[in-house]
Order: sequence, then C-alpha cells, then structure tokens
Amino acid sequence: MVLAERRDATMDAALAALYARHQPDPAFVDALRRRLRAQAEPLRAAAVEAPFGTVYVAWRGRTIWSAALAESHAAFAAVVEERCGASPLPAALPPSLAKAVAGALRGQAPFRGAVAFPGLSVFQRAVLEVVRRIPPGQVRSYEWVAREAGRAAAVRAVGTALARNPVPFLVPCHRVVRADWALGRYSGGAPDLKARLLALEGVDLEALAALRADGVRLCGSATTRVFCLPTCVAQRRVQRAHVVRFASAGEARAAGYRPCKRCRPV
Amino acid sequence: MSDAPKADAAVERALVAAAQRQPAAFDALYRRYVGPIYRYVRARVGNQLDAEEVTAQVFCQALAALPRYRMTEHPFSAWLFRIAHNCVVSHQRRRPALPLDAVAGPNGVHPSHEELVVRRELVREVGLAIGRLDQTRQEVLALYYGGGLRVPEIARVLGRSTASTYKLLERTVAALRRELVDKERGDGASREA
Repeated sequence: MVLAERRDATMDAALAALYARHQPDPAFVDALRRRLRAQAEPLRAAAVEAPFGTVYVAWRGRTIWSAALAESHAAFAAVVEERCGASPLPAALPPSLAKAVAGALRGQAPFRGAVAFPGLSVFQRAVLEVVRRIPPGQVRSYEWVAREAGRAAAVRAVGTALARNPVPFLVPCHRVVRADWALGRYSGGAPDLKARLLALEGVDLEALAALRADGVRLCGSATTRVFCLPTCVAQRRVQRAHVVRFASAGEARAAGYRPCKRCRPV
Repeated sequence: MSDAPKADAAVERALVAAAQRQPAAFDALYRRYVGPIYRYVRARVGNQLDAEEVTAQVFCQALAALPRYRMTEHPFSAWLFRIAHNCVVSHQRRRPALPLDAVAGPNGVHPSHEELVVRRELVREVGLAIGRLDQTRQEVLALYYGGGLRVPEIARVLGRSTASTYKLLERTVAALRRELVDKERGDGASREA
C-alpha cells in the first residue's frame, strides 16, 4: 500500500483487517458464476405455436429469458432488446426445451425449466417464484401471493411484479386473480386473454363468477371439515352436496373448519 | 515493485480483450474481481443478503455492458468499480444506508492471542467511528480497503482529481485516528474522575 508508509501502520492494518473480514460465501460465488456463464451464452429466439396465438421465446443456453405473443421475429426482438439489452438471433429451440415449453403453453404441465428475471428486485423474483408453483387449472389471489412471498402487506407490489414478468405463460401470472375471484387485469395481451388462458387450462370461469356474485371467498368440505381456495385440487374431489361456502377464513374457523395444507388459504 | 502493476495491467488488458471477443471468457475477470467487489459492496450496504444481491447486479451489468467498454479510457478496475458504485448508490436510494455492521460482533477467526484481542478491539472501535463518517468518506475507505483500488482509480470512480482523492483519504484516516485517540483520552479522563 502506497499510503501506508505515510500513515500510522497500526491504523492501516486495522482498517485493512476491518474491510477484509467479510469474504463472499463460496456458494454465492459459484452460483453467480453459473448465472454469468448462462448470461454469456448468445441470446436466441424461436416461435412456438400455442392454442391462443404464436408465442415467441428467447433463451440462452437452457434458460428462458423472455416470452411474448408477437407478430414476427422482428417485433419480438424489439421487445427482448428492451428487456434484456440484447437482440436475439432466430434459431430452433433445443428439443427438450421445446417439449417443456409446448406443454406449458397448452396449460397441461407447469414449466419447470430455468427462467431468468433480469433487472427485477429480490421481492419481485420471489413473487414470480411463488407464481411458478401455482398448478395449471388453479387460481390464487394477489393477497395469497404476497403472503407466500413473505410480505403479506405488499399486495400492490405483487401486481407490479406480475406486470414486469418477462416470461408470461411459462411463469403463469395469469393464474393470479383478485381476492373476490374477479379476474383482474392482465398485461400479457388482449383484454380477454386471461380468461382464455384460464379456460384452456380447465378453470371453470362461470363457477368463479358465481362465487364472486355470492361473495364467497373460500369453500369447505362438510365431511373433512377442511376449507380451501375454491380451485384447490382437494376441493375438486368434494361432492357437490358436501361443499360448504364461506365469506372469510374467520367464518370457516368459527364453524370448526381448519385450513387446507395444500392451498394454504390463510 | 514498479514493474508488478505494469505487468498486471498487461495481463488484465489481455483478459478484457478476450472477454470482449468471447463473453464466456468473462469468467477470468469475474474470478479476479468477485472478492474485491464483494468486500467493497459489503462495506457499503451493511448485510450479507443485500451485498450478494448488489454484487450479482454489478457483474450482470458489467457483462452486458462490456462491449461498450473502451480500454483506452480507464483501467478496467475503475470502470467495474464505477458500475459497483452506481449500483450501491441506487441500492441506498431504495433502502437508506445502514451503519456499517462490518463492525458488530467479533469474527472469531483468529485464536485469542493478546495482541489479536487488542487489534480486534481496535477494529471494532474503528468500525464504529467509520459508521459516523459522511458517505463520501465511507465510500473512499470502502474502495481503498474493501475494493483494494489504488488512489488514481478511486479518483476515476468518484469523478474527482487524484490529488483531492489522496487528500480526502489521508484526512479521513487522520480524522479516524484523532477520534479514536480522543475517545481513549476521554475514557481515561472519566475513569480518573
């Protein structure tokens, strides 16, 4: 150190020790290295036919970076350029990735491959990771997502995070609806696209509308005395005669019901 | 001694040129700088999680911006730390700066040798005193001791002249020492009273 000679060596040593005491965690260094390696791969894009239109997907290596409904490669490239700072080259999706993407776009299976969320905050990434776990054919509320992401009060921030989702359809932000089961907004495309996507996956939109009209937030089973979110798989197996409807978790608890452990309604 | 940095600069230029041709070669630069960048960021943001978040942001941005880097203008380290500095500033805008927790708690790496105990105590005291400095001075210290930058590079990162950066660093260290000495005298006085 050049300055050390002109200063108190003890002071210099103490400062050096102070700033050297926090070293990066090796696991973090490795994880970041993998992330950078993935980012160093060239960005490519391909079109995939979905039941609701032509979806373009951009990827690097095996990680999906961007997805959108688009008219042409050029239109999609402009979107990607803005989101990722690089323009994708047209290419063909690797077969394994192509299969996973096509399945997810048909609403048959969740997309489990790697996804990049460039430029999003820690909370926004946490939100999108929560959303990835919502199974096809089910819906959750913004409140639910906020709670699962660890910040129950950040309901509006969840909306912002979903609006910034760089990979709609594959990270199924269309499965997040309002707590009263109105569909709410969707920035992925045409106004009725959210309804179309949900209908494709087998969500009963009429039943949701009926719940909304009756002010029902939760459903329970009179035989098991468990209450669920209405689209929970556990709820689908309940016979119609045994379905009990609640306006709130408090009401369900007062009636002696416990929350479902799968959909975690509270 | 004067040859070492020159040879080092040549190696670094080669690494940067390789990474600009082939992004996969960025790995070598990453390995070289992940420690210094992390230590610098860690000193400025106060906790591990945020430090990891900001460090990741720095390298992702650097990799994306690498084609725009012009080797003739600055040394690469100054350019990279400039990105880090900007990331830290925007992080602090979102979340106000916490006092340096670099400071709290003994780290317990060394065996308890008396000299080390004294030194550790000094480290703790210095840490607290740094937390009371203004942001610019904390920044200079973090770049110098955490990032391991030399003064001309720090000057580039902060957009000041080399001479004023030298002065700032010297004065900051002198102020810290004065504060610690004063405190010691103050403690002594109160014990006597």
